[in-house]
Amino acid sequence: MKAREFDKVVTKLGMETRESKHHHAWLVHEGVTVVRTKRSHGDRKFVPEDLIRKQLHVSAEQFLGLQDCTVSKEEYLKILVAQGVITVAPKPS
Amino acid sequence: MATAPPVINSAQQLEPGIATAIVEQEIREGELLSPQHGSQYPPSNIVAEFLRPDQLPNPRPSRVLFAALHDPRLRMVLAIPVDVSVEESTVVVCWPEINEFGTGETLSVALDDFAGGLRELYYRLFTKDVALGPDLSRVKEILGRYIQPRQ
Repeated sequence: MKAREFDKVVTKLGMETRESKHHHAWLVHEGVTVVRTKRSHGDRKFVPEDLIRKQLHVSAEQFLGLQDCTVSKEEYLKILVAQGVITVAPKPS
Repeated sequence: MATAPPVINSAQQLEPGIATAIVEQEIREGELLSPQHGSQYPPSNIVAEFLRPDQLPNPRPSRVLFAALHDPRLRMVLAIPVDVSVEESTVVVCWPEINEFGTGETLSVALDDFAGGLRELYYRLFTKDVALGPDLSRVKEILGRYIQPRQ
């Protein structure tokens, strides 16, 4: 995986980023931090795709979909809900 | 003009210590040296074994215990078991329990990278009043078992 592909996913998901020793990215959904990932600085640095996939809670196929245009942010949020990474508060009756 | 390399027909492996070597006067001109051992090659106590690259022993351990956070504000109360692997000539260390990793050209660089990521993760998750989802709450709980603020 290339650094720019990582950056593309981070931008697409609108993740909050922070530059330190690494390029950190946090997905904040409705004020709750639900997912985190990171990569090293430098375009030529190795980016471990399988570990980033695990941090993002997606399968290889879903991750490929995030990199191209087949999985949107809304669909990704649905994946996170299905995985229990995002909890949906019950609607008041 | 290049000279031809000397041809050595025989050699003797001497015992360690001081030994008497054949002096020039004892060798007559044009006389071939008699073999000093019975076989084609001199005996040797050096054992050489040829292995395919995939059969070579791995100089890196497959798992290390990590406890070098390098932060004066934090102390580690438990060592973290970290898996070590090599992908595309890069050493990758990973704490599978929370999927935190570090990469580098060497094991020590990868562990240093891991430490940096872990510090950042700790401070983010332990920030006051931060709201976390279920997975990051679990990560925070695990981190708290290994890392504690220094009093």
